[in-house]
Amino acid sequence: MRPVSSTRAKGGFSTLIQGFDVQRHVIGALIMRELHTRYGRENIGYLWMIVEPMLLAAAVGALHAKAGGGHAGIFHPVPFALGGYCVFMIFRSVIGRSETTLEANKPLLYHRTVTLFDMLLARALLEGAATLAALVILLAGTWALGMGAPIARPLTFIGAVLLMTWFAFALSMPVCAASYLSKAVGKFVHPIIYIAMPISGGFFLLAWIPQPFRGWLSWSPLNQIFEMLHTSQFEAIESRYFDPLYIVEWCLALTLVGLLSLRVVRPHVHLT
Amino acid sequence: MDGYVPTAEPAAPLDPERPTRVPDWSPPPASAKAPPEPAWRAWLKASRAFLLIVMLPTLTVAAFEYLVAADQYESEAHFIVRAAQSGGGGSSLGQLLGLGGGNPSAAEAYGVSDYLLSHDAVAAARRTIDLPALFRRPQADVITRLWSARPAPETLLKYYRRQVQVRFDSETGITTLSVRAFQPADAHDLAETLLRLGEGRINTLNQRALDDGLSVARRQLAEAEAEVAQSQSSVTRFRQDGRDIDPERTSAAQITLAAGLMQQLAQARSQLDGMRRSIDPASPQYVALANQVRALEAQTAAAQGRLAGSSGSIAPGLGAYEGLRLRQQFAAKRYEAAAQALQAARERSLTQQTFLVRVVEPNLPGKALYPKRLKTVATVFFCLLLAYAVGWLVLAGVREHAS
Repeated sequence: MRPVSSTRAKGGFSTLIQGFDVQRHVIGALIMRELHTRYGRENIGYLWMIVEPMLLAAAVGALHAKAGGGHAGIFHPVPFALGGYCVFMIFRSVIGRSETTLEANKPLLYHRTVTLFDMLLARALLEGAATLAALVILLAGTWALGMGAPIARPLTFIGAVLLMTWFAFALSMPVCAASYLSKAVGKFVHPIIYIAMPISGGFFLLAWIPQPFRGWLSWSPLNQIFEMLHTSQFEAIESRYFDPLYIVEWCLALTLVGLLSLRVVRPHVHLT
Repeated sequence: MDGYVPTAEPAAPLDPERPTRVPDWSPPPASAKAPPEPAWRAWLKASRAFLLIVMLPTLTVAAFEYLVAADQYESEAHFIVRAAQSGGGGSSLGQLLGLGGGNPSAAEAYGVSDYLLSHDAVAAARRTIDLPALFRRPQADVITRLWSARPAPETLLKYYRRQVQVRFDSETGITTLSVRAFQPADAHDLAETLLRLGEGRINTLNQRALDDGLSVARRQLAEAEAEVAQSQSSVTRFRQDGRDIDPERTSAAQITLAAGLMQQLAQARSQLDGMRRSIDPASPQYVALANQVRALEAQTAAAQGRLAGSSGSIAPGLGAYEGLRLRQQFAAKRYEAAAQALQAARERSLTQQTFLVRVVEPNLPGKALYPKRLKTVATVFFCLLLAYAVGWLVLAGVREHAS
């Protein structure tokens, strides 16, 4: 149990390599299992993983097709809505599912090598990858239909999606732990996610918000991630309201809180 | 791995004091088999990751900040860009335009802050201040100062943007200019120069707006003026050619004359008719009256011929004259409108005049506020500590898989 064993030096390092190898396989297996249990092998099978978010996002994008009227010509409203919605979907599904992760996968904990961390990470990776794939396909589609342009700053775009996945994963750990310890927490998770959707900045830029609220919102890491995303998508948008380092600091702090909370909750998990 | 083994005890609330559950942060006890080594060495070995990842960078940054980094002084100035509201002065048109045109000062304030951070401002400032030398004072340390003595304009601009900050607050309308330099006087001088450059740019913008607005109105007025003069001269030419000062009055006089003649002719004829019944046509009285009638007939025909008919008669001349008069009236109206437009443009340019008003003059700093040494070191330390803690926990989780 103690991470620093008495056989340090080279022994410690080889343990690390071995452990990393095992964990890699565990997470890979968990992702496959998740795919099986969620989508099965019927009709298009795993493709649902990409099609499912695509259907939702396409509907939302179509709703916003006429909404961005005031800014038409500066950027395309459909890719704007698609980007905001898809990236928010990473946040929503990772956090939303984390609440039930522990209950649903409890039997897996009989295996000594499977940890809560692995389960949550596998889900976050799966959601992030699926949504990113859906988003890229949708953006390519809007480009082909003449309703959008290619992503202006691809590196920033990847950075924004990665940061969102990390942020959602980091936050999913304390949410998972807290909702296991107290059922009441689980009741708050979904309302909070729904409230977060309109104010998180997926569908607007902070520059459009009047002053006192803009100042308050710009402290939120979610808003900063979306500012980064919108900046990466469009040549014409160059937000001054995000700082990648600030987002990374938030993610680091949340990860620390999450890891500690998993350590706290683990002794309370009963497998019977 | 005891955490996942089914335990008999009920799910207890979170209890941090249970010793076995709390992660062990202390170094492990030295192995019994290992040769005895000093306690400090064992401690060093146990915590070497922490020392390497957290303490070493923190100490490096601290050493740089406290031993190498040079003091920087900041001079700050506040100004507002304001449109003059006094331009109206009772003129309702000017006030109306001033209200309708919106407040242009926000755009101009953004313009000034954009200008102050541009290559244009750097180039302009270099004409009075040796910027590279200012950023390479002997007090400056090797790392922070501008590296090259003859920098490319882009390099200088990049460095300049690090030292000069312009923030526009859209709520209060105040723009804050802060300049950092290695000597107090340098910071003050540069801030003062930049303020003057900003003022100059506002004046240039004003001048251009004024010129643009007025030049169009002036040109229109000049055109209208030329047209008035031309129509006037063509009326004069008509008078000279036609030897007629006022064809309207001349024609009126001619009409009166012709009417008088016709009346006389009618009287004479009726007299002659009456006479023919009573008097012999050969009598001298009758002959004289008949002669008078013939003369009147000739004169009437001549007068009517002068009014209309032949090319030299009055009617065509009167038509041409009336056309000229009409054109003259149009030209006069147009001139009036152009003169009003010029007046309006002048008033508008007065109300839309903008000024850079200094709210706070740049100060001569007395104490070096930068670099914020303790803040930088603390930030580095806590960020690394956070990263270390996360890394430690993740790696501990990885190791768990191996056992």
